[in-house]
Amino acid sequence: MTKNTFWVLTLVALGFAACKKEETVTPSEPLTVETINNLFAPNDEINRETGEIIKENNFVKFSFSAKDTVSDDSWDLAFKGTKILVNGGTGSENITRTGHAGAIIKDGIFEEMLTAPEDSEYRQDSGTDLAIPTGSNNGWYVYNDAAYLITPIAGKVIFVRTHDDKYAKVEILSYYKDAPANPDAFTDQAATFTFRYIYQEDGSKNLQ
Amino acid sequence: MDALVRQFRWFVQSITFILLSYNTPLHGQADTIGMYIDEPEIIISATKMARTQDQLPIPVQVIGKKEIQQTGAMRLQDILQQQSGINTVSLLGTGVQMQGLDPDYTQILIDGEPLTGRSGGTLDLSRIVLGNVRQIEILKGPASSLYGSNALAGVINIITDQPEGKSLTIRSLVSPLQLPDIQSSLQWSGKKIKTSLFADYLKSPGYDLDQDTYGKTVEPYHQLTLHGKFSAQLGTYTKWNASVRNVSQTQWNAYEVTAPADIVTGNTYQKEWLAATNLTHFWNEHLKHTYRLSYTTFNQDLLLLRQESGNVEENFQFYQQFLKPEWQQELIYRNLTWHLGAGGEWEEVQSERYEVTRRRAHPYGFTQLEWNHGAWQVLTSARYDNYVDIASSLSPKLSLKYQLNKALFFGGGWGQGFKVPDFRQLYLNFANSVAGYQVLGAVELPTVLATLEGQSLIDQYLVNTSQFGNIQPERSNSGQFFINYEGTNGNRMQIQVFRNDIRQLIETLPVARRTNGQLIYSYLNLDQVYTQGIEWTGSLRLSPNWQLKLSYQFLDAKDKQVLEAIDQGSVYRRNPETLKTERLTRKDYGGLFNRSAHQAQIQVLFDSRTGWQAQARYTYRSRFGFADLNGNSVLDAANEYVPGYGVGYISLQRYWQAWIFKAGVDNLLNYHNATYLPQIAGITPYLGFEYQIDFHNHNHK
Repeated sequence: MTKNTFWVLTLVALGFAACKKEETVTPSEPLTVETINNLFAPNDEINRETGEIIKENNFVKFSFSAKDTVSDDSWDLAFKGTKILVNGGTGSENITRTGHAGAIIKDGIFEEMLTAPEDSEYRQDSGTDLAIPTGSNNGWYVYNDAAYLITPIAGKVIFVRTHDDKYAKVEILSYYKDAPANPDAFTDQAATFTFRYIYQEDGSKNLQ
Repeated sequence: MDALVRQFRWFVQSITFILLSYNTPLHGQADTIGMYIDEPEIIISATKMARTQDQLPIPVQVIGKKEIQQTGAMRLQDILQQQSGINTVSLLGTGVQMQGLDPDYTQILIDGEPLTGRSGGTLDLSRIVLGNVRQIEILKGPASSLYGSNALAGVINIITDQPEGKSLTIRSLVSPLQLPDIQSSLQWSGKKIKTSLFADYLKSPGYDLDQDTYGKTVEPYHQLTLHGKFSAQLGTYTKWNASVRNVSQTQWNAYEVTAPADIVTGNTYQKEWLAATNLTHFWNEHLKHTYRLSYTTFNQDLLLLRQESGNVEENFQFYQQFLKPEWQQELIYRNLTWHLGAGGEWEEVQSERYEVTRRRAHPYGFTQLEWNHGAWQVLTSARYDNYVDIASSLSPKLSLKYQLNKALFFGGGWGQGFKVPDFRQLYLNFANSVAGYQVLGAVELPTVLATLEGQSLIDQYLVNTSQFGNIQPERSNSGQFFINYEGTNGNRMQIQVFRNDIRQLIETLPVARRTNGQLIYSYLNLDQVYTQGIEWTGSLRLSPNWQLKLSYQFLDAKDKQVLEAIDQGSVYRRNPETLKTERLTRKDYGGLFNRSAHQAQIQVLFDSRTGWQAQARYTYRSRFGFADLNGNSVLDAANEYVPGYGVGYISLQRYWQAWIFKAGVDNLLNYHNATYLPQIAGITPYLGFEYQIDFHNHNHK
């Protein structure tokens, strides 16, 4: 009995010690999780019979530091349909990339991923090969051809190096307006992003 | 039990099966009245030789002629749909799922000879009409040790009527789905030479479960089946059998397309031949030889046109032929029976979807030992298939049974099965330019990729390229255990537990992306899955006139890699309400798609013993997954399931002189689900009759 008590106490003590140690490591206030609702980025309008583009739409440019869409070159990510570009690298799209942005998709849970990956891991757009790949089950979404639905894949966290070398992590939550629980491809407005992110403005890789 | 009595019983059994060579007629039309008097059923599938169930340490499910006659079932799928522990699945034709395994893993035989012509792995059960079927034997669990590839999940052997006597039978059934079905069987037999000719013509207007979409769920079709059989007794010890079967089917197609909007129509023509012959000779009371030869062809011709533009939408021809010679020797010595067999399979496929005509041939050998000792029965077999282009396979199997007392016995077995990749998985070279993708067989893949690589048309490989060009057979390891109770009062119960572990499962997946963004798909050995479950059947005689039958199956079928990933915490899903991402737990995982955890059946049978018979049957199947909707590629969310459902059947039969009249209703509660269960038609009433002219005494026996 006494022996057991001894061990229990030891474990409790060790537990406390561990907790304390962790507490001392935590450097500062946790960063706030921002959510962007209904960012509408429609794809080009296409004649379904001929495949011809009737009306070309612009990419909708987003900046983490502005917490909003921007019209100048200070963007980090740009959206159009299921395509997401980074402000870094090259591409044939009708957009100017002046920044140093990059991105990498990692598997995991948003809240649990506390540090941005090493710089060597970030990819930039290069021609048709995007840093955030398009295509079903290729990057951030999966396309269901029976229900015609685009669903963001759970457990995909996009780490972004911004155009000016800051870090952020993004989780895309919905592709339909007002993020309905059971979206309907025929009635819900598509290409309407809801996503959340954490942005670290001090340039460190801490994303906690 | 007295040892002497047992020995005597064994001796009698031995004599019985020597006499009942492979094709001996068993129950003629005479037994239609008093159908619930159980007679020993002769089972062929378990050993490739005639045996009764109590001579076998393997449980074989038998659907007899009477059971078939009592329903409105005209095609194989209709009767299998009513069995528990078996699912019909609709995927490029209606196939069968046994012990939770897909249609490509069950071998379908007619009188012991395999049918050919599978679409995407499924052998369409609608090709088999039941009019001249004597019994359907269902052997669940691996049977590769006798039947080779494709018998990994088991065997369904359709045993047709043997020519006997001189008679003409005319049968017809009319329902909204069969307008009409007309059958006739002519038997013309002497003492030594026996012949029969069976013909069936079925015309169906199809049915439509969803009025909103253009076209019917099942479009109109008609089908003609001809089956001729011949047997000759050549002296006392030699018997020769031959049969030819021909099925031709025309199936209408009609559907809507967009971009540009149009309507596509056309016919699918299908024709198959099965010619088989066998010769059995007893050298003495110990030694018997059987020589078999079968030749099968399957031909499919599809031409679909766009009505507005007149353009060809699809023009597809497919031709397959299959030849199988086999020799089997049976040596009986006291309580030991030893079989030795050898054979070969030659197969050829022609289609535009293959670069050239594809062929393969391979020899095989098998051996089997039956040993009865006291209360023990042992059956062990092994087969070796020697393939050229893919790994050869040795398939062993061992089954045991122990008779505890007169009413109770138990047993079990273990076996290994395999399935070689089919022609499609090896050689397909198909590009869908409309949808923008390409599918390549595993053998085609490396050469085509090398060519594309040379033209710098490959953007990216999506899997490790070292796996290309090295496809292996799928392999299984299976075990089962059973307990059987058989009361003297006709009450029966059986519990069976099974487990199948399959490795190197072949999956279709994107392997490369072309520079134009199009994906290239191919076949790779990837998954490891298991299926396990319990099957329970019970039969209770309530009175001389009433009988109650119950059955239930529990099934658990899962992908081992998914379980592993769940344990590692790398499978996620998003809560659709809170949008929060969470890790999947084992409890959330619903297993393989299209499998129901629970299946049950209740059946009430009535026989007045004065010519009236009736039955009511209700089958239930619990919910099953149809597709992943939330993007984690596994079955976990409630909206990924088709809800559970039940189908009811009733039927009434009247025997009167040379006539049988029947009436009934299938799917009494009118269950339907056009999207996920198109093979289940709505409520279907039917009327039918049978008339037999016996040329000996002008009387229906």
